[in-house]
Amino acid sequence: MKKLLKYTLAAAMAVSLASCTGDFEDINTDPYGISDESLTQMNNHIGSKFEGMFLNVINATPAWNYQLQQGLNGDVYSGYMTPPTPFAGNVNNMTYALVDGWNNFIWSDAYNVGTIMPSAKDIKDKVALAGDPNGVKFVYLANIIKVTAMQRVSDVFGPIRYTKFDDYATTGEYDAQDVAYKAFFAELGTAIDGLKAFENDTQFTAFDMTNFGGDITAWRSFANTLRLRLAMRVVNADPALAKAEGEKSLKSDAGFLTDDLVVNTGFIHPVSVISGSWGDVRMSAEMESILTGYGDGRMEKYFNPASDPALNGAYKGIRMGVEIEAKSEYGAHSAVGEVIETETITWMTVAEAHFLMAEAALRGWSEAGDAKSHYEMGVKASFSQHGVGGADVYLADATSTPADFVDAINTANNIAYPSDVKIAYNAGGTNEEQLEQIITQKWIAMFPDGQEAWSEFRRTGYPRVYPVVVNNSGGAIDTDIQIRRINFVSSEKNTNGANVEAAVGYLNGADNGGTRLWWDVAGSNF
Amino acid sequence: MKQISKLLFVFLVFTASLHLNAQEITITGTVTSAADEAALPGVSVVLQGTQKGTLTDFDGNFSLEASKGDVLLFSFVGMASQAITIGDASQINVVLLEDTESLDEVIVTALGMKKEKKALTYSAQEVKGDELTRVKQTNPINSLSGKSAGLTITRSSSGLGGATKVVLRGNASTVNNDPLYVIDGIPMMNSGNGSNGEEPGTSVFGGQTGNRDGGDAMSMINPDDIESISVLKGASAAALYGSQGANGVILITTKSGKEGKLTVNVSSSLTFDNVVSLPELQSQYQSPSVGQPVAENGRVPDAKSWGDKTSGLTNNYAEDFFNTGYTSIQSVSLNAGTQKAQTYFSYANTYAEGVMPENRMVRNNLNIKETALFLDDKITVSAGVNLSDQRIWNRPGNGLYSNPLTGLYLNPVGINLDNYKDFEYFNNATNMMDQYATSFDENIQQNPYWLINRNPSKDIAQRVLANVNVKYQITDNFSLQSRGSFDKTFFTFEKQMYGGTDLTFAPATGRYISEKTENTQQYIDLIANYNTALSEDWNLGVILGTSMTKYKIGDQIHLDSGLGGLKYPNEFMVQNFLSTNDLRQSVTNRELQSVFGSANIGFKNMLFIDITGRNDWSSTLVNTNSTSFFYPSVGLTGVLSEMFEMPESISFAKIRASYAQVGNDIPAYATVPLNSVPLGSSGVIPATFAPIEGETLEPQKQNSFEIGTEWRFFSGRMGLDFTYYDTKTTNQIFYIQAEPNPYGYTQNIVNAGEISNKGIELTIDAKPVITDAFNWNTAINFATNDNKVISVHPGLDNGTAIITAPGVNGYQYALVEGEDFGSIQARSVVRNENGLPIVSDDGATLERTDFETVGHAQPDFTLGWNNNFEFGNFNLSFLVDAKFGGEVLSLTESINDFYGVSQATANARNNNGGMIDVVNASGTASQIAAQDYYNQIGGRAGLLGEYIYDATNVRLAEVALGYNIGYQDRFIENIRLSIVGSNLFFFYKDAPFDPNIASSTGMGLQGIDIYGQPSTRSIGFNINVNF
Repeated sequence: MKKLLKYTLAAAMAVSLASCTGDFEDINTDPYGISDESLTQMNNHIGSKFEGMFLNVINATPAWNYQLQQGLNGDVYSGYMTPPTPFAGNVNNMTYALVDGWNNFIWSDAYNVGTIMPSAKDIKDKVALAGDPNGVKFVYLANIIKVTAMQRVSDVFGPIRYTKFDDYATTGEYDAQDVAYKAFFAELGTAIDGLKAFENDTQFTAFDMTNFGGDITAWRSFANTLRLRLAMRVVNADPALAKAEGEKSLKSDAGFLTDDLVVNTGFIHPVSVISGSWGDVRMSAEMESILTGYGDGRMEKYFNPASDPALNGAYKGIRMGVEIEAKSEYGAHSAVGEVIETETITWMTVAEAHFLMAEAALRGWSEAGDAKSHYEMGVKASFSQHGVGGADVYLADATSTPADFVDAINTANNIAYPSDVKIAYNAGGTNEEQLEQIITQKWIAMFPDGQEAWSEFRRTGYPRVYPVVVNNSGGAIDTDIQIRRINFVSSEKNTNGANVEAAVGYLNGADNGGTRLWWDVAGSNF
Repeated sequence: MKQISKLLFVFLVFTASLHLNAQEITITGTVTSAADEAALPGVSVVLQGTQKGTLTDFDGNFSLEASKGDVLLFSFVGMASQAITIGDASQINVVLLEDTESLDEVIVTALGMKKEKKALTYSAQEVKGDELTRVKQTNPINSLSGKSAGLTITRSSSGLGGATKVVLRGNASTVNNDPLYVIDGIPMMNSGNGSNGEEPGTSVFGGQTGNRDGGDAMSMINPDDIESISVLKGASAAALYGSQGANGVILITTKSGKEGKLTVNVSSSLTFDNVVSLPELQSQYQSPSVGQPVAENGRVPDAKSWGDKTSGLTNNYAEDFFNTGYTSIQSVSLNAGTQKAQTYFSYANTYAEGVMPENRMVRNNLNIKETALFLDDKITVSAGVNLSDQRIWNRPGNGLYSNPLTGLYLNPVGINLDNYKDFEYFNNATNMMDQYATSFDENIQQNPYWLINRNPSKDIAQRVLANVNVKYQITDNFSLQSRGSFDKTFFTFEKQMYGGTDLTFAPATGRYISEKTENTQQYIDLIANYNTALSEDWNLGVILGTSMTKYKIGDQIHLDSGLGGLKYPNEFMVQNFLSTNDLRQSVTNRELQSVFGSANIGFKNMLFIDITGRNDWSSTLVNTNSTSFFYPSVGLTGVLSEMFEMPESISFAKIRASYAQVGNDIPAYATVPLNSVPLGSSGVIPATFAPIEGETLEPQKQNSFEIGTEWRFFSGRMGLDFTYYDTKTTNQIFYIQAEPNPYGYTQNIVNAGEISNKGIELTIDAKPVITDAFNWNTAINFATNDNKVISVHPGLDNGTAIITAPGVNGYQYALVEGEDFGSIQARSVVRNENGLPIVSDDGATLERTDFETVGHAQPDFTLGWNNNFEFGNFNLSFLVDAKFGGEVLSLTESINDFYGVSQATANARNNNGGMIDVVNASGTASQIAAQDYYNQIGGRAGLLGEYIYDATNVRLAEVALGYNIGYQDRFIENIRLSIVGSNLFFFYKDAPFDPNIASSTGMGLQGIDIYGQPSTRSIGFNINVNF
């Protein structure tokens, strides 16, 4: 027994000498992870966070993620594109049976690790931690991108988690949409003013994934144009706020976009994958009606002729929410064209800036200039953006109107275009008539950003988007009024139920696709 | 190979010369029973160290050839065995004593220690090697199915060399339910390739390159090297293994050299495999494409089969597609030894061709084990090296993507698939070959022949397992033992996807994936063993030990050209990559240190108390409250037949009870969140999961209690073993949807929940007939397990922890409070009280439920019935394997329906005018066309609740008929020929596929079939020759 003790002791000694738990921390550290400390080199603890923001405002990869973030909602509801694919037996977003499993991505692309909200908070925290007063420029830039993204998310759901997001105790709480918008204005205003002092600063260059290349002056002009976009968005809900914020932009020394804002993502445009490789999206009926009706030269940049030999090389669109049995029925209609054949995503165009100013002029906001000339500059900017000639001839066309839609497969889907809106600007028309011209041309120019186009359609009712033929919403969405929003996502309901319930209280109705958002006011635009 | 055959030749010559030297005489005698002096028929008389032997005849007489000095072993059930050395006498009469302790049977238990079975305080079941090799499987674990109660085996659908999911006593954990595999006392690494922190196969789509089964290490063991497998089911049995043994332990004892003369065993088997359970496809309704022009790239206008009814169609392409596969296993083992040193050597070569064209496998196993005694036999040193090399070409996957079976089954009816066997055409525009396929609309529908020829893959696994065991018997009752092992597997995976492959998966220039992975485990232990008789009645055995294990799992370099593509088309090399977005390095490191001890106290050989304790220190627990955790167990056994006078018919009875607590550490790195560069992106992102703010993690805990009893009757001719167990697993590791947080964590890692497993295991074995002409052994294994999720994390609003979210599909897998473990969830058609589907007001859209539980993957009970008949030189055995209860879901059927290729859709079109009766919400009867109906319920996002099937099945799992030719005094001692069959047919089956096959051996895709390779039926021959 004594011997046993001796040997055991010896064994225990041997073990304790041979090993200890001191290196457990090392062992349990992933050698292929990167510590926060290491990231501080070359300011990547701040700079690297911008990448996730640049790649998620409009999701750049993988393509199916974009498809769920925007491709199967805004891109369709805006009247831009329609899938020929009867996903889930044709009972899906297109026929107003909203698919939670899809729409979750609209939310998660803003709130997950490495996307918009956490990255913006991270940048703010890291700057505060570093204590360098010059770091504040990163916070301003992050906030501009954050507003760009969150405006889109809010325009889908209405209330969002925004002003209380950064604090763990309150992060789950939602803001009503007007509260979120007021926060957007405040943050944009601060950024535009604050960045003035950094106009010659080049520290952002290394992290800027856009064609601005870190040019703070250009970023200020973008933020200022964005403010005008937001101001116009709320014009029917809160005209005073709209005018106040809009005139701030019009008077600001930051000016408006002089170059389109284009993100160099390094990934082929997701619509190119969806339309090309997958054949899961095609030209819409509205695009066919308007572009063919107008004889618009941008059509061959935006779309390819239908590959179906029976269509004889015509441009052929699909109406949203129609009965589809098989993908093969409409699969050979017009695919999306060269506009998406690059590794870039456009966030905002010079053309849009002009159309915003045209509307501001129409509404009589001070220093907005002349509606007609901004309208024409907008059209010209769009033509030159796509390398299409003949803008002057186009703008002089006072007779062409959108064509009625004829379905190539099923005549039951045929529908007349419910307006004879023309191209040449009619300054003598009513405000509504002028607005329809401005928004219709803005809609053409903003392609393929369906999210923003859908929002403008909901705000103004222009251009005239055809209603769905099949409505599987179970009465929640009126076919003629069309879809106004998307219900809150299931992941939030699962984990943040009480706050989602409170957010439903901020809505004007039930949490479904038929309820209008705060800025979406029925009736006249004036 | 050349060297091996040379070696073999030398051994053979050596053997023969040994033989010539022997001077043999004929030994005769009679065997009687001591109790009644009656002659004993059927007593086995074997020449020790050989397989040479005979049985006594009806009068107890025997006769055999032996040499002076040989040892004869006499054994008979219910009797104590005797060994007699042959002297000068040629007549040997033997009296066998009745042996009430025939259960002095020794079984290998935790840490490789041998224990008397009767002293065990828990349930353990041993399966002998010959039972495993009777019908050889390429993965030896598959042979265990039906042979042990409470053990559920699910094979993967990836065929040759595929991994196997083994669950003992039901799923208890949310993270990992795999048992611990132990080879010769040393825990073995069973990680395959691809299970590198991630679960294999959790996506219905299967990933762009297909759901990959990386195999497991068990599948690389030569079945012929296995002496026996002990299955230790409960936590008590495994308590000495602490954290690693929480899911039970499978102990594998491999063959060692034996003292005695040199023996050589050569075995050869050849089995043929054919597919069974193919989905039923229709040949009545053609695709609207029939008669339409076919495009240059092979495309037809309508890829579905919802066209006109036509006669004379054929649709047997699926049968044509599959080949008859075969598996040939050649193995040789040599065994030589003196009293001081023994050698075991084996070599096996496996060559197999799968039922899927172009799928084949080559495996070579080499095993050497040396044992030697030193210092007056006080020191035993044994060392072994096990080398294996396995190459698999085109291992079938499953899932919807890059799977030839989708395009095969979905082929438009009436379109001749033979025209597509020439799977490529010359594309003038690109000046290269391109895919020729019926449909490019759906990325799940590529030409199957293109996929098998132009998306080739190769898996290589090379394994070295070396171990050393030194034991020093210091005194008669005290020994010190130390073992070490080095276990390393190298995996290489390579896939070439030619340009022309669907653009979802590979760009027009092609795609190349090259992956190298190493798994390493180093183990060392030191164990002191002390046994003493405290008094005449009391015995004490004490074990104290310590061990350390280091793991480096999934040390991988992953190189993928991804969707960025290749610079020069179809040149598959890393320097030809265009994009670096899909490159990755990864590894999981872990270290475990342990101190353990046990005390066994025996009283008068009738009462045994067993106490164990183990403390583990795990590296994964840094940054938690403690890196250390302690696990105790206690057990008690009473041998009733020793304590009380029992009727004559009861030869042995015991009861046992035990309680144990074991734990499991937490996933590596979980507590040290770092930024990372995710695959498919160039940006840095912070950790995507973290503990909930303010919480820390703890090891998972499992409390288990079991009671059992074992009885043997009629001199041991019948036996019964019954166990009841109750296990509660708490502090489970869950990855749950994160609560709202400003860091964007999508998942919280939490300790939560409670899962309960209660069950019964019953084994009955009997030898109903024993005569000298005919013997019959039979055994029934029955097990039932009630598996409940008591609670999940309170933060989950509706008591549901989602494991596989549906995303854009119709299948969800979740743990739901109050339900059985593993709820299969889907949407279903809403029906009225008469079972008619209800449609919405437009009269066309089926009303559907939300996602709800439609089934559970786990069976209610399992039954195995094993039989062995011996008559003369013949031997017949069969195994019936049955699983009752549980459900499976077939996505294959739902998508086949959606495309109109299934027989079900033809039937629906043939009946009722091709209409489905429905009612609208107000109860008015109406109809919708079959196509509209299947359009809605079918497809991957369909109402999959309509595709749930009962998993109950009863199958004839194994049959073997053998014939022994014994030679006396010849160079060849014994030849055994056998005809074997496995998975022969189902006595009963409801599901349209084999429910014993899993889409994934990971957690995420249980109970679902997604175009998995159909099950195969195998028939073959074995020849086994002993020299």
